[in-house]
Amino acid sequence: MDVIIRKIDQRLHRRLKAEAAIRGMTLSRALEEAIRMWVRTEDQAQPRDESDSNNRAYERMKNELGRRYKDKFVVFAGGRFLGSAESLHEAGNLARRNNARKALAKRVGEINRAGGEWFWSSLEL
Amino acid sequence: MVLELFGTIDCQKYLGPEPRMPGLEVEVREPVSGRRRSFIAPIDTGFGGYLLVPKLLYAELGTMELPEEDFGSYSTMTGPIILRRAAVEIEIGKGRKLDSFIETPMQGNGKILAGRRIISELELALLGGKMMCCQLKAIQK
Repeated sequence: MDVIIRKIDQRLHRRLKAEAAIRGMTLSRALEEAIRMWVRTEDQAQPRDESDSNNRAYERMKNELGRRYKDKFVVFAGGRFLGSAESLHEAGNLARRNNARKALAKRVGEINRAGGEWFWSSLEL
Repeated sequence: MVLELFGTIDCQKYLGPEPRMPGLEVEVREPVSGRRRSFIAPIDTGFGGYLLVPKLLYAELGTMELPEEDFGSYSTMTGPIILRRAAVEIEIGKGRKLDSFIETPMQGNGKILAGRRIISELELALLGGKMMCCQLKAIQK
């Protein structure tokens, strides 16, 4: 379909034209791709918001969790503490009973921080 | 000298084009909905992490995500890379069930790989002549 867009920032327009030329694309194709990237970024931002609120809730309770729930799985969803469970399986059930689509879960006291070395092999970003 | 004997539980043919690579048949169960996905994960002894998966697969299976402080930071030739990490139940071949983790890059798409933290949970034999990767079990001491 045809769309007319007015009052585009001139420098941004020039930059888009130059970028499209470098990539061998038409201006409309480049604009489509830019819109697609923007939409995709927005889509990905939704679950991050939930992750952020779960992480904030976890940070607030971290000391208490260490005292009261050592070696248990603790579960957070929707920015609140749902409870604790003895196993990952039970933690999953707890999240399901609370209709959580996304949850934060951790076995209290377990150290998972380690990353490590990633040799030059299968890296594809 | 102590002699230990192992029998094979399960074998997987090497994957891909020449030179072919060893892989593991993996089934991942997401703990909230019980959704399962199966795939063959190439073994990557260069990757010090768990089970790396592409972003879309992580979105499907990574419902029980760890706190950000527990995300893995991996050093590479191009600098550190942080991977998100989520708890899942994993079954490898017919041999082994374990509570473990899937990981995916914060930026970029990632791919399917079994890293050293998965491999170190298993007794594995790479039979290069037969092009087979086999899971073993001790049968006699």
